[in-house]
Amino acid sequence: MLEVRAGDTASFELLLVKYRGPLIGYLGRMVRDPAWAEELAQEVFLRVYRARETYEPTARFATWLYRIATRLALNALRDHRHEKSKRSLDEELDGRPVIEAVDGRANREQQMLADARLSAVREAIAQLPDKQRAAVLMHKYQEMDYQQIADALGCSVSAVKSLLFRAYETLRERLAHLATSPKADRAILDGGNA
Amino acid sequence: MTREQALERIHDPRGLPRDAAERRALERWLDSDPELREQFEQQQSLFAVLDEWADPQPSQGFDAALYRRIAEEAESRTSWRQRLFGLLAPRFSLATAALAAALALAVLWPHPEARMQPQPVEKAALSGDEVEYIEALDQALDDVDMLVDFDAFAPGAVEDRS
Repeated sequence: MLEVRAGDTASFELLLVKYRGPLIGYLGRMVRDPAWAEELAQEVFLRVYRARETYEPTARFATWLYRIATRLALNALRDHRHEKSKRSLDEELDGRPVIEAVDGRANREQQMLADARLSAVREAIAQLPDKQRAAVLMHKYQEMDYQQIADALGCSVSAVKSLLFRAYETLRERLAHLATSPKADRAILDGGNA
Repeated sequence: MTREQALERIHDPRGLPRDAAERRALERWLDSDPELREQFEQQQSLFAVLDEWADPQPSQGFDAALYRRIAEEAESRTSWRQRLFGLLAPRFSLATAALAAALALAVLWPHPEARMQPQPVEKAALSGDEVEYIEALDQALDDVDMLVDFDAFAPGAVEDRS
């Protein structure tokens, strides 16, 4: 980041290559809409580019990046929550229909099962309170440690531990039915949730 | 390792500790505390389920769209500066031209005493350096005239008049 600060556009490209994927992954899971996630990720990188001359290396770059991303995502979700809630889960599966054309009944059933499980995971995470959701996504999918998450969320390490503990407890309860067994799979296909 | 630390470790999505001593300490806890063991197994199952949500990938056009937005932003800043200078430039140029003309007149205008007395013929003959100097001044005045004309076509001059 210090090189980007000095106006080195090649360094900006390196930052982009390194953080583009993880950031879109994080934002994609936060807002559950690929196009929206990319729009937000672009906004994050634009802010990085704008701030390249004023950036102070007080925090690690990744933490700073996730802090901006989290704030943007939560604001965007708050502003569009009503609109978003009207959309069906089927529309949100990464922009593709739940049932895809696959060969054979077994494959089709497998695909339906995978989609149903994925929907359940996404819905369970989406129902977590904002900070718990952000903490879980950073911890589980971005493999950030407690201190990094605390810096990104602007809270203490003990608060992050508490957020994560409660979030995982909730997720274990909500997703217990996804423990792999043929009976559980049948229940998922029949009713969405067990 | 305390129980609290063991509880923290079983929530680590990276799995069991890589450090052998730490790993043994955690395994001792898991062997001796059935409640921790159960939580560990449930947490591992949860992580496996969460892994079914694959990383959303950036689209092909992401970088191009980002650089387009950066370029648009740079462009909008440049055009803002151009508009500002477009408005100010004619005034600056006219003021500079007027000052240059005043200076040229002050230098070229003959002194009152000199005007009263006819110049001796031999003094009217100019040296090569003096001729060059006068030609340079003449050229400068031409340049000033040209700049005044040029201002009429400067960006912003039309907007200014309208």
